[in-house]
Amino acid sequence: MNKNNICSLLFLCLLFPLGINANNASPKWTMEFYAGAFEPEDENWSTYYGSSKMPQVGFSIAYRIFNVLDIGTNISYGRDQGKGDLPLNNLIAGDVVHEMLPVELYLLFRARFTEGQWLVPYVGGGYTRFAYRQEVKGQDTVKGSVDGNHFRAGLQFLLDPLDEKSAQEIYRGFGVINSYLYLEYKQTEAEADKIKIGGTSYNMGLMLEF
Amino acid sequence: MYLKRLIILFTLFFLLSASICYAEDIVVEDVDQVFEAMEDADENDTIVFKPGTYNLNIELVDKDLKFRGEDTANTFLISEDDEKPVFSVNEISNVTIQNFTFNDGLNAVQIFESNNARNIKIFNNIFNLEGDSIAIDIIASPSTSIDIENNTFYNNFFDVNLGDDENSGNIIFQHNIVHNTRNSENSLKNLPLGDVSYNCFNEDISGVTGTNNNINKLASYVAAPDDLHLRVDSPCIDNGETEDDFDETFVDLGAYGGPEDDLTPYHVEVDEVKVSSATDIADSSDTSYTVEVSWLENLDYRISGYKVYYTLNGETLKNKNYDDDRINFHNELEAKDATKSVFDILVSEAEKPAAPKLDRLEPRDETLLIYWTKSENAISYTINYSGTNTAADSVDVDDVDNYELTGLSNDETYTVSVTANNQSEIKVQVAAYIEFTNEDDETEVHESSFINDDVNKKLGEIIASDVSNTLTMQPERIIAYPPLPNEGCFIATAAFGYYSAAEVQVLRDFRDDYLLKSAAGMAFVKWYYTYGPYAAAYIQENSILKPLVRTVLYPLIFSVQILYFNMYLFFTFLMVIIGFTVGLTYLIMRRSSRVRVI
Repeated sequence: MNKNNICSLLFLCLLFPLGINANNASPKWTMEFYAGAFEPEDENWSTYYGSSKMPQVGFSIAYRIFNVLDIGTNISYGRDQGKGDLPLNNLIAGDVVHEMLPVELYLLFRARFTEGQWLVPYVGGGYTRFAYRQEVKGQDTVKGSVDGNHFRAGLQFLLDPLDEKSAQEIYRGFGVINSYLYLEYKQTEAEADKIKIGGTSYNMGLMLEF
Repeated sequence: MYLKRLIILFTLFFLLSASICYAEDIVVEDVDQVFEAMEDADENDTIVFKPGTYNLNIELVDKDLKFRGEDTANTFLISEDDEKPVFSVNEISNVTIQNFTFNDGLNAVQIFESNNARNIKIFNNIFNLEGDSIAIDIIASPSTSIDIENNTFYNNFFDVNLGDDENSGNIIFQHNIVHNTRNSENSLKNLPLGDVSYNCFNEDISGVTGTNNNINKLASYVAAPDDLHLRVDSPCIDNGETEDDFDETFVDLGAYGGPEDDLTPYHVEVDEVKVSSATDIADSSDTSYTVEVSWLENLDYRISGYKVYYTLNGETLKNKNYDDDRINFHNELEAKDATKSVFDILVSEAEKPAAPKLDRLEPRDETLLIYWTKSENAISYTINYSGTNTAADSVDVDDVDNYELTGLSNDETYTVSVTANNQSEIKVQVAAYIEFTNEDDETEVHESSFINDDVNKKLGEIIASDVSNTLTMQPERIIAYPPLPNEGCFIATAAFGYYSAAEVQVLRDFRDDYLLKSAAGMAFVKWYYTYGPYAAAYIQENSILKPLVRTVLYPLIFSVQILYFNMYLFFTFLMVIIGFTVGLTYLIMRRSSRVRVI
């Protein structure tokens, strides 16, 4: 048995349910809260903003169409502070705040075949309306929005087996059927006047199923 | 045997003396120092607060300490945590809290479970609390000993609240002024009235005023609520029970009376410093000036006079103490009711400062940021600048090391230099003082604090340094990275290729400065923002249109530039353009009709 086969087998084992479910209800809605880092596609980003990444937070809400397919919408916000360009003087100076607010519509395929499955890989993507704003201290604010698309993939870890009692209480108190911790990779593509403003996000979040 | 007793007695005496001798004053200037001092202090030490505002909550649970403000009117204690009192005294004895102004917070002083709370003294404080606060809150006090003497309670909700336990022990409430308690029933809640004597209430309190020498009269302050010293006509003067060292009559009531009184007068506001024209002194480089200092009179009845302190080209007088620092500076004495002092001074020519070093220029939109290294002896700087098309100009700035030079043109390169300036200067403070002979026949003088900034006045000629090195730079708009397009001016942006093009900026300025300031202009902008993006997208996709649109836009941009230069010229130019367009259209139509005829 080669290494790939062993890995595949182990992965399949992870997908098996533990037989634990907060209740017998089948969730229809999901809500996500996440935070992470957004790395713009632009290679010169760190020259102007000091780092190649900026912090990002976001929120999603989705509806389960089929057992493994969700449709949802997501909004996130990222902000970076740095300097601007003075091409005539060949300088980088000033105070610039760059903000982005992508709004997404997506389809998400979640490999969630049974209730109580504690590891759920997922993959999805969709349309992005990428809004941005650039504020230069003492000057006008530049703002706009462009169309784009995104792809996302990640792994969700079911938290309920860690503390079944709390899971039951959360269900009774707030109607949360399952809670997941997840790690996600997201690639966003968008262009404004041929300038690529998309990038890669690395997020960690909490997903609640209702 | 005798020797043994003698040794024991000597040892006991030594220990007792040592404990008394080691009770010392620890002076503090900020909150951190207060808590450090409380940790370091020994039993019975006094922590002396310099004038200032202290946001804190002090819990006294394990050490007998005394707390005193150096200047009652200017030593403010405010509760850091609104849920806690400033002072919380819990099961300890020998605590003294005196000479503070309590300005804010829930309670100023709270005494808990005071079975063991003996010998607690609250003297000469001002309680001026906001909200539903209690100035002094005493909880559960079956056997206690608390002296509340010579305080001024001004406009509080509760003044003193003694829980619900009638068996209160020994609480003395004497020689206080109670002014305008917002809920008069709460003035002295549950306090045994037998111990309430020789106080001044501004309102009639049933069972209190008219008994035990408690009077019902207005106190007559100097300037309430900031300055609660008493004016000469105050009924609270000399109306206490015990003798007063100050004027050998009876003690005054309120925060500024009694044996533990803080005799520091309220600080003086200097109104103006005038300097007359200079007179040269023969055979000397010095120049003589007559200085006139005026101030606002301090109406405290105890004021003996005023002292005018000044320094020439010297250090700041603010916060200098009477006892040590101040003594080195010149002073002029004035009488009790004086509000002006005139005196002559000799001033040497100010030293020429070294030329400053101009470090760098940073361009901004129509602005240059200028940074230099300061020169010794400089009190101000002059920035000299000229543009390629602008005459030389200058701007004077204070003793700083950078300046934002605005109102420049992005189309010019500017040359900048800096000179340092020096000029003689007089700094003035005025102190009110109280002078009296104490019981030991010694003359005591107490001067007011220097809380306010010095009043400065420049004298003589400005002595300028040599000019610094020069630097050149062109102001420039900062372009945010990446240079993303902005919503608005869509067509121009599409035609000129990028958002930050100077031509597009001209149109944006026109939008902001003219169109958005009229209803018609705003309606046009709204219409344009609705349909403009479609046209812009079309131009973007058909690059061949860009030169054509630019050709159409250039006259408009040029017109706008003329508008910024001169409005009449703008309308003339507009008429020419319209005339030219109409004429050209007519000629084209005429020619095409001829072609059709042929």
